[in-house]
Amino acid sequence: MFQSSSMIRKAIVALAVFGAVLPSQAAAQSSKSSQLKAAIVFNILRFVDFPGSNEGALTFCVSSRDPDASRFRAFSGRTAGSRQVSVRLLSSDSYAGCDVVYLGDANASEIASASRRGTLVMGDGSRFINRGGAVGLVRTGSQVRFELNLKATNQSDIEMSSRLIRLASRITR
Amino acid sequence: MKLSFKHLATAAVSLGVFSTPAFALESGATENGAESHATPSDESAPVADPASDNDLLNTPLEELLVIESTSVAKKRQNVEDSAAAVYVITQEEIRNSASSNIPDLLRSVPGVEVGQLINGGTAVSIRGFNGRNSNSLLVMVDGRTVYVSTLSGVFWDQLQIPLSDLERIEVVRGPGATLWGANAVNGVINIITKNSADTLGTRTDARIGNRRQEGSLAYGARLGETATLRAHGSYRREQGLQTADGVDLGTTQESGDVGLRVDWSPSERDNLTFQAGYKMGSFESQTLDIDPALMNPNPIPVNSPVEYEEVYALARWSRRQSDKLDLTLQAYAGNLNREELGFFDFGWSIADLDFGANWRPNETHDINFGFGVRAIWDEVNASNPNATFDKRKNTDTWISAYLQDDISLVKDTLRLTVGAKVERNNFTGFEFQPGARIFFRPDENVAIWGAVSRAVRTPSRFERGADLTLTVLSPQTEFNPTPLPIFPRLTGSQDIESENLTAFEAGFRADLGAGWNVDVAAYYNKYSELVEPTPVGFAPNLFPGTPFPFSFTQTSEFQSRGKAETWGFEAVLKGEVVSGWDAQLSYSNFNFDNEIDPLTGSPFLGFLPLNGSPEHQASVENTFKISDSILLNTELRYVDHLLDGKVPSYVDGDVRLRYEAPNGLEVSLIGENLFEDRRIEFLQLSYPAPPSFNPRSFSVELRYRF
Repeated sequence: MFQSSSMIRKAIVALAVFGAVLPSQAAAQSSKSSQLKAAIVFNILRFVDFPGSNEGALTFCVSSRDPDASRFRAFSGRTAGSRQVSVRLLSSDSYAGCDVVYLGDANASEIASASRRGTLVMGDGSRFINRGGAVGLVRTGSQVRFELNLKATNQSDIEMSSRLIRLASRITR
Repeated sequence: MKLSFKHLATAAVSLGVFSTPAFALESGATENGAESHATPSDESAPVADPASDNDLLNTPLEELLVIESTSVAKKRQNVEDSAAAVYVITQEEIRNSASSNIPDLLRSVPGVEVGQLINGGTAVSIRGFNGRNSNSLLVMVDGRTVYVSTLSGVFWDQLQIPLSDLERIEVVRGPGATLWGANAVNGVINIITKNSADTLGTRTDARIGNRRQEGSLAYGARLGETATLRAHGSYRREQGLQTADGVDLGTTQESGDVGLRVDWSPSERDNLTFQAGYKMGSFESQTLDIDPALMNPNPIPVNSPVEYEEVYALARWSRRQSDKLDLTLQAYAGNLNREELGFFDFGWSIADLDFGANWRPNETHDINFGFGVRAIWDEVNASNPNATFDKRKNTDTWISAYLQDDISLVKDTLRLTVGAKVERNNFTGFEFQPGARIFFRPDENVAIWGAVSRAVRTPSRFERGADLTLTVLSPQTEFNPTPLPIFPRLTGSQDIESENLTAFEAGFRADLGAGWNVDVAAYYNKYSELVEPTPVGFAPNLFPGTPFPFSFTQTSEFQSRGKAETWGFEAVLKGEVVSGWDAQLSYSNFNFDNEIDPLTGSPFLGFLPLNGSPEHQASVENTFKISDSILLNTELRYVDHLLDGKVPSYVDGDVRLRYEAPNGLEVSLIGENLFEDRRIEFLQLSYPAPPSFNPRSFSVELRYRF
């Protein structure tokens, strides 16, 4: 036990040394997180059934205020499920023609004004689905996860696959 | 085609064990694969190039959700890039499998041998030396060892983790001692649970069957913006094994557990996890006692109580200090008490502290180093004159350090990994466990690897100082031609040393195109200082007042003299037959040769006989996605006979048919062991239990979250 305690001491010292000597580089992790967020959003689109015909282009509208808007442009021209995605930057609050609206961080009234039959409202933060949004992207540390509001998707007549229900970090019914 | 292979490989997620930096960091540093989202999952091929949005967009959702974006820039490797025989049981495989517990899940892993021996006792091993205390396989849960070195074994029935909370199970065949240290001789199994941030809300599982009923409930919640928790509880009752005629052995096993996991990410570079749990179980198991007076020539079947309790707590801090340096500090403690066999009352406590670092100074070197300390306190109360220990209480202490360099000789083509772990314990002294691995990728569809490494197994308390007379050889039977019963007595020895393995391994993997890939690993293992029960005395047992004996006692002492070689290979072929139909075929081959014992002129016997492992194992697994909501999974397994046919070969058939309702409710119909009423899977001649048969079973399972 004597040796053990000396090793413990060494461990603590070594850790303290590393912690102190090496400066914390403020690495630009956030761009990686938004890259990951975009990939998760795109993957979610693959498992969503919109009302009516699931053919033709899928219009993905993103608020130009959203800091990650540029990331979503990479969706343009890609196929999610059977539909080709076209990305539209929103400058005003006109959501006509949008299958998906990505609001970023939004309050309840902004979410309500975007919500309508056939439109999937997505956004950021752990309160997004509590405010009435359908899919919330939540960052914890550097990992990104998503949450589902099945009441909102039901109201918009949108069907989320059971895979999404299983993989969501949180669901509300 | 390419893509689907990569996805498959990614889904199987890396584990680069000896070679991957992230895994090495986690494994070495924390004695395991550690934190689920901080480890191997970061190493998926499609995200290999952080500059490429395309690759990330094509990565399956399951993987994106466990990739820590901090590691997107990290040098990464997949299973396909590891210089070791690695198999990962993914979340999807766990969900599709008919199995309801971890040992059953392991049955479908190539090279793993699983056999239930007694209620509450399962023999699980890799590449030989199987037994109730199959001593050569290291098993860890979230960085915490559940291998009880004091007994050289694992209490598999106490691993009662709800399968829905499992992230994945990583199985490494072959020694892992260079990073994990002693007792990672023939393999390492890392069981990794989900991050609590992945499981918010309420989850319920219930499985009701003719032999087993179980349920579990988990609740997850946010603790502020940066932390989450999950609390769970589970309960299980199981009727267990039967006689050959279908009579239940022992009583219904009842067990339960509660657990808590908190994950906290105060910044993008810091991740902390805290876990704690409590488990308990109680039942009666049928064992075979001997006459304490050593007169009765036959074993006496009795129902003996089994009771256990276990508590543990673990904390780990992982920090990305810079783009070149990751640090991990982990501490855990645990205590378990288990009473079984009617006389064996065992208490065990462990405290462990580990520090690990992964340093990538440049493109060539990827260095892992770390050190750890561990203390184990045990207490054995054996209330039986024929089972005693040299001391009731014992303390084992360990100090260890490791260093490993993963050297890229030709970028993305040729890699050399060299390293060693040095340990010192208070009972066998210094143990040096070096290893060297080489990985060569001549073209992007083919990989070849080879390794030479050394590993040791430290002796258990049985081997160090027990005095056990547990079985009887009845007169005029196979091992006893005399007219009187012989009581074999095993004694430990203070002079016992660690068992040594020098392992030579090689493997190759190939992408065959059309979504198919193959993975083959071969090995030649050379063991020395194996524990050999060496006859040291044969004496008559006299009854006071009578001139003639009623029985004999044959005393054997555990001595570090045995030598043996094993060799074989495992092969897995995986792919998509047609869209919606996935298949996996695997085959494992095992051979052995015991060297000649100079004392007897015949081969060493060993304590865990090598013919207790099947020469051939094969399996065919099919997954049919019948529709978006209906899935059928079938598993067919062949296991060769054991112990010269005392345990016959068998074919096992398991099936799960699952329906997923639009609201996420899952309903499954499950059948296990479909081809026979019951089968015997394992027999350990030195273990006092009657032959026990595993019966066919059917169950219905429901899973729902809200």
